[in-house]
Amino acid sequence: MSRRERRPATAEAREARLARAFVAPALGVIVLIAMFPLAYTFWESLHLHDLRMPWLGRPFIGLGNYREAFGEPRFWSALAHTGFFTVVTVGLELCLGLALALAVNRAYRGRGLVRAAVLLPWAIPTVVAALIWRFMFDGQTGIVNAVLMSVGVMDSPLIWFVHSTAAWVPVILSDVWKMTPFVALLLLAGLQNIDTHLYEAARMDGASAWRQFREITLPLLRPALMVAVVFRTLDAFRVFDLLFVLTGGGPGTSTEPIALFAFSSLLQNLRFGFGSALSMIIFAVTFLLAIAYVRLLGSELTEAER
Amino acid sequence: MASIRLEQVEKVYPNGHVAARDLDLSIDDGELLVLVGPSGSGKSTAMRMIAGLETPTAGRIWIGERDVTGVPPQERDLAMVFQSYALYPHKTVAENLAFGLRMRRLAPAEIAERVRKVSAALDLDELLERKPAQLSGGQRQRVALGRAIVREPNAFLLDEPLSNLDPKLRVRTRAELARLHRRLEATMVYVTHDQEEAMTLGDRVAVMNDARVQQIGPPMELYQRPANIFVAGFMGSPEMNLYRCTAARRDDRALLTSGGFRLEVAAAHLGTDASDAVVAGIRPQDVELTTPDQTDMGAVVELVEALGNDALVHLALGGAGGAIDLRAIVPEDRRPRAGESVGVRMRAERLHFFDVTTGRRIQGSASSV
Amino acid sequence: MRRLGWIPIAMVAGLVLATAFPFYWIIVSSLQPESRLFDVPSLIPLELVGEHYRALFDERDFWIPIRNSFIVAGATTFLCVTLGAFAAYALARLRFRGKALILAFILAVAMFPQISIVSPLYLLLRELRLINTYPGLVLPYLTFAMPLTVWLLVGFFRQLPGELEEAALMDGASRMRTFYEIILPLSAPGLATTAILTFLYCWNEFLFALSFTIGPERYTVPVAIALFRGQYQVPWGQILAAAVVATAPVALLVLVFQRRIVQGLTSGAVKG
Repeated sequence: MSRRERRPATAEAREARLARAFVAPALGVIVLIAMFPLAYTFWESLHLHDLRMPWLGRPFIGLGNYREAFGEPRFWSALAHTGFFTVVTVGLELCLGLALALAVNRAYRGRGLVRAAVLLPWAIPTVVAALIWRFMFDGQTGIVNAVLMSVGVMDSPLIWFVHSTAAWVPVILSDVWKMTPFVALLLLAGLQNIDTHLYEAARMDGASAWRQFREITLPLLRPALMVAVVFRTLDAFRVFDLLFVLTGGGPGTSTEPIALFAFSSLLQNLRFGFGSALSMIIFAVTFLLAIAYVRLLGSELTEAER
Repeated sequence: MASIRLEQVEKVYPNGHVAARDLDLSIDDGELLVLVGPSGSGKSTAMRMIAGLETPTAGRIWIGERDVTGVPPQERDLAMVFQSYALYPHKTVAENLAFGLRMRRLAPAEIAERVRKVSAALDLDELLERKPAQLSGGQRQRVALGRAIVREPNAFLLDEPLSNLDPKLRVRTRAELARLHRRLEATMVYVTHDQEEAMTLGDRVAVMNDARVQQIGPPMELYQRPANIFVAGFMGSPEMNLYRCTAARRDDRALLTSGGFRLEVAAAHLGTDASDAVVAGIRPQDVELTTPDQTDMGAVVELVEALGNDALVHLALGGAGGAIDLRAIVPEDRRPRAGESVGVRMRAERLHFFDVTTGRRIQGSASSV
Repeated sequence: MRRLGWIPIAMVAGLVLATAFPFYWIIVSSLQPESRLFDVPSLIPLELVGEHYRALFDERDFWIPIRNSFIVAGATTFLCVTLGAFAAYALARLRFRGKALILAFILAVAMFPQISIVSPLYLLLRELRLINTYPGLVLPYLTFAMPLTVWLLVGFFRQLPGELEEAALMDGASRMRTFYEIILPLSAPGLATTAILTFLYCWNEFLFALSFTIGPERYTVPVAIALFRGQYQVPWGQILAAAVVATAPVALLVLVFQRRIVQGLTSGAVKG
């Protein structure tokens, strides 16, 4: 093998050079505007930096902020709220989304119209969605109360946003309303990729509808399901807009997610060091989840073309 | 037109997969060489390396006098006809034809003239303003050819150009391609998996398998004197009958047996090596059927397929109900019936013998013209 | 296709109703006179007035946030699609080392929690005196818009048959020439879809817009709506009117381009 000469691959080298030139601008932007700030946040999280008390300077305190965070009950509550929100919404969105995808897949007509109608909640700003639901669940003007009272479930209007448990209802409903269509569309695309001949063969073999679902649909839908789960989980964990507008984290801090806690520490309490530590924790969790994502779907994502 | 030469070319992918190895090919100016083999044999890789779309991991490639091993495809001045035609969907037929000429910065007048000539020659005049989506498969194929011809390149590379056509059109287009080759006196490299195309079109044929060239030569040479078992089984349809036999020698004769196969030949056919095993092969067209009393080897007819002028007879040498291990082509009027017991005659000079370990043809074994 | 049982149809109808009802409700409510808003709500409106919309534009100058959103989303989209197209083509079609790594990296950045980079971006923008300016929003928007654009475009470019580029190369076209004479025209639908999705994401963005703008002059639509203040009580009439106005362009985009949008969302995520 070593007897033969290795030709300098000039054509390949040229292609690689051109490719790097193509990639450089976009990549450069991303690195500059995303990586450096992240590194800065990390560095900041290791310092005491409270803009309300500038005379304290900016001393290095190592993991002090992190220790404070882990010792702070509000931190754990925020984490618990976030976890609760994530599990409930992702679970509901998956189940409903799957049911809807299956239904739309069967209902042959009017797909385009349904798609358009169903995309709208996903497409509007989260802020607007939150306001819509806030209005509907308003104690005085809200239609939810009106309907519940007229049906007889309640005799007097419930001020939803004042109760720490009741407040979760509009929160979860609004997220499910907004994001289920997205999940349904993802799953629908996955469903449409399944060869219908498989179902026909199964039917000839005498398989019931439930059997077909379990043995054909679910396994072949796995990639789409995984994509949906991971995207939604990552999004749900980072939730901010919705709760900022819908409850402001309240009453008190009883619906505060971790991102909102970090935000208020940073830009309202001006505790940059502490807020940065919180941000880094959020980043770490997201990063770990994302790695799990890449592992699970591995070669599909990073498949290099010929 | 230019000649093409591959010297010790090899392509190994980073994951270890060997796509091509020990490739030594030379194609003369004006010659049509067919690269034929099953999928994965390396024939497409070989062509893509000639085209410049893949770079060899070892070895050199010449076009004419020029070493093009590191040269990108844009600068090799080769024209390629893709299996899927790869016509630019958003351009008209005329624009498709003119594209390559524009890239070479030819004068507009010259471009127009060449397009006009090729369009007339391939009967594309009425289609010039249409887009590929509005053309039939055969029309698209002609446009793909026209795009190549109009460039007057160093050589043509054709990647399975007929496989997307339906069978009748395929035969007709095959003949058109042969005529085109003669008219243009063009150097052509033609890749296919169809051995019939190889036989009919090639000035020379290179059979590839397992990343290597198994044999290269004029079609009839490959057919009559296949260099190894693979080539023997690949070229010719229906496939050659092959038997792994035990050879019992006595003096200058040898008795070959394998299941129901039983034949006595001159020991000289088996070569100088005194091994007691050999692979014997005979083409269905060379098998004669007669009555059972006339020969030592008998068989039972399991199935007869009428082909028109001939019949393809499937026989079991081991007796009724056994495995079908012999196929024979006989004229229609001498067709036997299913279930019939027949005698099988094979003439020694029609047999091919191969070494049982290497698979290579044994020197001195038949067959004559 | 299977026979249409009534269950799927009922579910789909239910879906459309559940989706559409809130919109119907806010449109109707936004057209209620102020006095009626605080009464017991009724499904069918008794009278419709436009006073909230008028107030929205005359008194609150709602044109301003709309203008701001258009400028910021438009500029970001333009930058991302132009720079991103080159990068995406290289990643989808050209051969070079480290490609898989770069792709993974870009996806990772798309997953960044925005909160994690808000404060350093704030400080950076403050240094550059870009707080409360258009560039001061476009720049941070690139952090999530660029990865999104590149990711979507890689998906679209991969769908183009590879043989077309090879044919162009054989015909003597340089890579650049192949890119803009063959690839770009053929991927125009993909580029359009990517632009639409990127624009939507920018239009809807909230956290950065909230953090990097100070006054109503530069608020974008989501921020302006979220920060509506009323003198005595929550100005629901105007808020709802603003919500409707904010939804209208989005609704239009979605209606017209729904097929493209779905294609874009699902092509990258679930490969066929």
